[in-house]
Amino acid sequence: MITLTSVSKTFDGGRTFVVHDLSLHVHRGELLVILGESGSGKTTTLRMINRLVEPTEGSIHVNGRNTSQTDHVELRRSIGYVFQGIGLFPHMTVEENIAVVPRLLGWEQPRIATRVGELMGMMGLELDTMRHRRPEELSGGQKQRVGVARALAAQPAVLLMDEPFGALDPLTRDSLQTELKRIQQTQQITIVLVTHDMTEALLLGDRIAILRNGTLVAIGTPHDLLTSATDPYVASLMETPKRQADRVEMIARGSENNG
Amino acid sequence: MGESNLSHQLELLPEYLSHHLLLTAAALAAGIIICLPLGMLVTRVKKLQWPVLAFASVMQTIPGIALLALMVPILGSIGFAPALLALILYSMLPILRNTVTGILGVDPSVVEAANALGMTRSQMLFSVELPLAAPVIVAGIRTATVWVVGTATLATPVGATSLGNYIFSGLQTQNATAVIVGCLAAAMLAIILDQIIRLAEIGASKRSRPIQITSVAALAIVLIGCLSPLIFKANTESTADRVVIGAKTFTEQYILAELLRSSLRDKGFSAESRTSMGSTILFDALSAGEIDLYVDYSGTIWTNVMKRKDNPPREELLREMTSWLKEHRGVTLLGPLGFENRYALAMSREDALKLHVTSLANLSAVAPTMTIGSDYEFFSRPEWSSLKKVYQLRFQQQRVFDPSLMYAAVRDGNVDVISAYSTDGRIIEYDLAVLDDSQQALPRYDAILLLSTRATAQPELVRALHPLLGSISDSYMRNANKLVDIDHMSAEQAAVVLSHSIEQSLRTGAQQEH
Repeated sequence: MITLTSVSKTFDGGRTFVVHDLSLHVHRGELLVILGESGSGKTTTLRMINRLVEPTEGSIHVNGRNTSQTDHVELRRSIGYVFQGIGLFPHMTVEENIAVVPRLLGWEQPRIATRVGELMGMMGLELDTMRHRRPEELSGGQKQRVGVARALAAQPAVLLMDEPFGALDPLTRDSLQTELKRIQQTQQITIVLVTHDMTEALLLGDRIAILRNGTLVAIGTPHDLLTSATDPYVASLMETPKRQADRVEMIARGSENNG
Repeated sequence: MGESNLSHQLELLPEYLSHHLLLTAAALAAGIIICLPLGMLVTRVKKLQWPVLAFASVMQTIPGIALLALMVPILGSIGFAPALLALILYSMLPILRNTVTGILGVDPSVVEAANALGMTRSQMLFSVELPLAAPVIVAGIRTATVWVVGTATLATPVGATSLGNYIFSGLQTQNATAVIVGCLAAAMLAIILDQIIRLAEIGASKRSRPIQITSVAALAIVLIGCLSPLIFKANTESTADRVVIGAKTFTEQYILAELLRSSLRDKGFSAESRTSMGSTILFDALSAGEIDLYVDYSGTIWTNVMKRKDNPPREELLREMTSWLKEHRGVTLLGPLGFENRYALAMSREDALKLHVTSLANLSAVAPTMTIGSDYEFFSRPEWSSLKKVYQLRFQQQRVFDPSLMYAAVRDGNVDVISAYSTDGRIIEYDLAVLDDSQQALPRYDAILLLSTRATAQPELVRALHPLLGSISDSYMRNANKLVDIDHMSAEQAAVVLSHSIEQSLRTGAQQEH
């Protein structure tokens, strides 16, 4: 569905590369997590897919089409995009925010209204009470629900997500993660999600691509990476959630003993 | 008298207010039409940002009255056009700066989202950036509105009627009522327009139809209500055969303009006056045919317009001037009105006696300890340099005053000597001694009637003006000036008195001839 072939990006004329010689393939209907520390080039990689950033070298194909030969406006309208900043339009209501891309695409009003109702239902937003609210009246979780609904409005085949749940409280994050997984499965949508959160990567990803200093160090299913990582960086990275889980378990057991 | 003065001033309100509003509304509309797109462009092309904003800032730092006066030579015309251009330039900075600040101030995550969703640049501008920047942009428009309404009062000296007519003529003729009416009207207009724009903004941001409709209706009412006198006038009077009389910014000129206007009206002409205009602006306007006639002074034309330094006898000077004006400027010097209004140095009679100063020749001995006060022009005029040279005058200090305040300054001892006008009524009233110019360093200042080419081509008009030539003596004029400056009559009333005096003298003159 998405293929990156030897993609490189430099912002300083070739002295340093943010992304270097990256090739990877995302299957149709798959949720690929790109995992990395800040500065690893994960966000730049994501932004090259919808041409918010132009690659310096290499090519990217989405749904069989070379993105550099596709009009960037048309390309972006066919790809959903969700990011940590959410960026809801503060002067528009929830309904209007969700309807932005269908409007840009010139959908008929009844079709837009139906789609907005559908999405709000899917994202757990109560239509009658929420549709006329402005973003300032929403909680953080509600905002990101609207952000996801907006990204999905025009039924894109691909959804790009840049640390979408990073700013949410744990409970909200958990419920949104669960819903995202459900949407991916019911809507048959291809998702690329960028995160630095190991646990999120393991819980959501069908496969995980690990980036370090702009290069791909490993790619595989969570199971493969957890069990058979050869690279020492990847191995230590995979250790962290296990270590944390062990510690949590110890604390839980200790308090039981005390009680 | 106060009450009748007030009601007289209020009668002038529809005319002044309608011109003022037309000027303001046109300037703001043009300012918005120019600055909104320019501001948007500047947020897209960063290189332009500095030069464009710097230009607007420079326009703002030029004092309003200077900016207005500068537009006259630039456009080569007087009246509405230069005033409009100056006010457009004046409105630019707040609109431009707030448009740029507003657009650049939009939350970057919102801009990123708009980009990522596949909005084109113009879609982003119109459906995201402008709506979000609107409150800031509207605040800029409101600032511009208040500034332009205020600055438009300075359009009067470049020949555009405005509420400034109240203020300029009121200050000159010591008519506080006129000044207050002018200021209050301008302030009210500024507040009303500002509030209407605010209402429109609230209506837009709350998307409330009733508020939007109310604001549009309020604007329509104000525009139609205030502009109706103009529309009515334009329909009833054709401008083609209207005689336009000009006047400078001092009492005598207001009275003479009224005298000319009423005598032409009596003879069936349609005449209007443009008062409170700058001295050189007025001559240029006559030469360009934008006004038809006004009264100037031979010395002013001789030195400032003809750039002559010599000082020939009166008859010779007038003859030479008549042919020069005709030839070089297409202006007809119809003839002298009879009186002279020259610059003359004057000081309090008491001081003059004490110091034994009777003439400019004995002033030079005491001048180094004295302060001289003058109007805005005198120290930069050739007369002043000639005076200094001929009598070796050196003063301790020079101070510039508004002409209306200069006489009080010498009376109260704030200055020792002033450059008075010889027909000023306050010379008598404040008991000032006019110092003798025995060397004739100051040229003659015969009041002369000047006509444009268009006016000269109308024999009936020329015939109607002829009786005024030679009919106004120094004492008639000084008395008329005194009625306004000291006795606080209006210029119209003083013109009536002056016209009676003229008629009386013509009648007795005619009787004597029989």
